[in-house]
Amino acid sequence: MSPTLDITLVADPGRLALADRASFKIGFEAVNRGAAAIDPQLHDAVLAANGQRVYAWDLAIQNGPRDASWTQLAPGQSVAMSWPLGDAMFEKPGTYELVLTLGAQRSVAQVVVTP
Amino acid sequence: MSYDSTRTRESGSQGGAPGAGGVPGKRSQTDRLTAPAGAIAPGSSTSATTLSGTAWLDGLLGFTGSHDPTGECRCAGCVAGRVTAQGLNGPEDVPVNEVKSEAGGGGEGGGGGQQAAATAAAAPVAPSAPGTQAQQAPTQSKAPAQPAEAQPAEAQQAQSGKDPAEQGAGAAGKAATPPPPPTITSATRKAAPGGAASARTTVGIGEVIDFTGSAAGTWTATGGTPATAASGTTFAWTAPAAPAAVTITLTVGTQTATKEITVIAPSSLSMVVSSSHPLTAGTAGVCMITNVTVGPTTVSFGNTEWLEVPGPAAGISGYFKQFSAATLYHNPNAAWVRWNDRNTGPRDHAAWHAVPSPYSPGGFHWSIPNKYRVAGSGAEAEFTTTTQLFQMTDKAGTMSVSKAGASASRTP
Repeated sequence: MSPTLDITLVADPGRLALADRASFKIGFEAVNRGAAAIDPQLHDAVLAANGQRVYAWDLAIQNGPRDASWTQLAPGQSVAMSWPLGDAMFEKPGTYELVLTLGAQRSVAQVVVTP
Repeated sequence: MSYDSTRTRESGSQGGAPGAGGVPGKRSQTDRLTAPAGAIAPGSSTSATTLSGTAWLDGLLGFTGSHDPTGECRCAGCVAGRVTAQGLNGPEDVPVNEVKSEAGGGGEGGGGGQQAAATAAAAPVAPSAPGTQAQQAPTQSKAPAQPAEAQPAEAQQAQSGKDPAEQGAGAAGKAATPPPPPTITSATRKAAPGGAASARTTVGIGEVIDFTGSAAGTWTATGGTPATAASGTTFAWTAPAAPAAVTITLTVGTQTATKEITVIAPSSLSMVVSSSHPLTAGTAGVCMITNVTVGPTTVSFGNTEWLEVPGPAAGISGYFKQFSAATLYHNPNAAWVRWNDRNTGPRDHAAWHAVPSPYSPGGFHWSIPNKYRVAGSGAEAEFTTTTQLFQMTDKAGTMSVSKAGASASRTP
């Protein structure tokens, strides 16, 4: 991954009831901080929840139509995407430590799921 | 009294030499005036109805007989005036004995003045038109002394050799000749990827077409935008966001021309593998990146966007039953992506890069509804459903993926 890429995990909301998992969305925003266009290699981004790989994230980020910004991110430009993965990620109430890793980049978020 | 304009001219009318039969400086038209029987009032000093040579002129110049300004005067002067009017086919005050231009005086019927000749050349009048002389004679006889300036209608009549009513009828006759009906040509702004000509009348939703009329007029469209346009020869029109049959109408005066346009929507998706990502050796997984084409390619969908609709996995079997339905749910790109003018552009990523061992046969698929819309438009519709199938075929972890005609397979 390019060292000029700045990627952030976006989880919304940070606190939700188990019954409201369908409204939860998780995604990322990646920004090219460099001076040249880059391929951010977003398909290699891996999400873990409490240390467990989230396979639903893999299927989401590795499938579907993509436009040119997905593979050619211009300087100063950003690309973002999110999916409603609450049902797949939260099987029961609790506190979830979410870690997004892309190359050397790491972004963390915490989500509390109440009964 | 009438003028015999049908007889063959004598040498005088041909500019013959003096003394050669005619009277020098005089035209043959004036050589013979014939008064019809009964035209001479009883008691008149004229004793014969035919005057030959120049003898008749003595009487004329001497104004034999008394002039009666209040009625149908039969004095020689008035008689001469009538003759002039009839013989010269115009009201100008041309003396009876004036030498006329041969250019204007040739031909039967006595010709006319130069103006009349010029007018006739520009707008020929059928010599058989009976109204011309028939209407001039009374006009001349009723007000022979009025200046031309006071009679604009008559002046106009004199120049054209026709009376105003007849001119109007002639003009109306010309206007009544319908102009050729208008025609419409059209050209799409974008070429069809399949090679159809830009004059095609089947276009994609949101396509822009430039119509050109053979004449300026008002434009209307039964669909798309704009619905109407101010008068002009061109009409830039955008096809509606949904399939339709649209009639484009150009109205020029009372005539119209129409062009039928068929607007179609995307109906198919096809994919061809373009590349794949390198995957971790020893780990099962599969990947294909495809170039996507929206069809038909007989039109351009360059102003159209595409969206895959989320949905559950189906046909889950074997190895893949270890995953929850929520995990296998299809969550594609939630944003619309736009086709380019060649009906391509977006790429599709169909992959699962790494799955956990142990491996065993199994599979699942997504039935993916696809939607289209005109770029930026709120209206959207489904047009085709694609199937994306994942399979693991052996315990070695060989995986395959297929979608819309494209497929890939990999053994770890």
